[in-house]
Amino acid sequence: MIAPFRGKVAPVLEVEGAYGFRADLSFLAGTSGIPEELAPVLARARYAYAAAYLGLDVGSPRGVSFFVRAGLARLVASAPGSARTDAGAGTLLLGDATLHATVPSAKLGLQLWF
Amino acid sequence: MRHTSRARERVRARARAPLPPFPRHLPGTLLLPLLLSACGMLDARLEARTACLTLPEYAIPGAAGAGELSTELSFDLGSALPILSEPDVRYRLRLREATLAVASSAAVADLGGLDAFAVSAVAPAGSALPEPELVRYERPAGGDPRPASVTAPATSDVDLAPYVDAGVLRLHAAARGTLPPSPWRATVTACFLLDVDVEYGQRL
Repeated sequence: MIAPFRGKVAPVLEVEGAYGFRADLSFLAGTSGIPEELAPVLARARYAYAAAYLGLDVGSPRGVSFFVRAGLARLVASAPGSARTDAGAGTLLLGDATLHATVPSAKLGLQLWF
Repeated sequence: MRHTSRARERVRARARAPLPPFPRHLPGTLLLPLLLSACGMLDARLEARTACLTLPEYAIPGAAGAGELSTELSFDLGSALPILSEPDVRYRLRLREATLAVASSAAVADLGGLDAFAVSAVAPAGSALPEPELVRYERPAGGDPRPASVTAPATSDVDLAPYVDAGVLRLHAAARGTLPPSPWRATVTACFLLDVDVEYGQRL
């Protein structure tokens, strides 16, 4: 996190990243072009993401401050395995999926400096 | 006592202090994702290496006199994957393999008489698209003489998205060998590689 100025209102640049060995991403199914049929597969997904934010800290830099940030996040998730669903007169087996997405991201919160 | 009164004075001083000025950068910061989306930076791409559609109990016509048969297979992708019909979704669809298996209710016991089969794309009506061969199976020498199912691997990498008409992909299957002269039933499975792209810029 980079804050070039310190004051009651300070602009902030923040970069963060994470890797999840096993996460339930089934909430993504049915959104963002991801078929609902992938929900059982996405329930056991691995993911990596990195995000960059620009924002403001409002409050005391030595105490409690409120922050608001917005930026972009890059997500890469892989979901091994497959799920079978009914599809009209037949069945659909869907899986071994990889998702690459660049999505808007925002954060609001309170932080305590000590 | 002295400490208490000083503390009260500090609290009162804070209460009298003017609020921090409105952060002028806040609207710009919040609008940044929207501006970037207008530039087409926001997208999502899903690749599914397994997308297999199975048609159970598919009616296969009887073979003609020369031991050849020809039939059309219809895969209703629009019903199976409604996301493909959404307007801001682009996708690529490639046939990875096709499997033909004897259905449980079939009059034939196995596919030992099947020497070869191939599947090709069928262009939508009125289209000038070519109709390339997509998968091919040739009975291997020394293989199982009485297989219950056979799988034909891909012979081309054609994107089948332009061949999907109203959500339905039509394929043409041709087979030769010692095949039953009367209709029989088979389970047909087509496995695709599916790439789905969504452009958020058009959604926002």
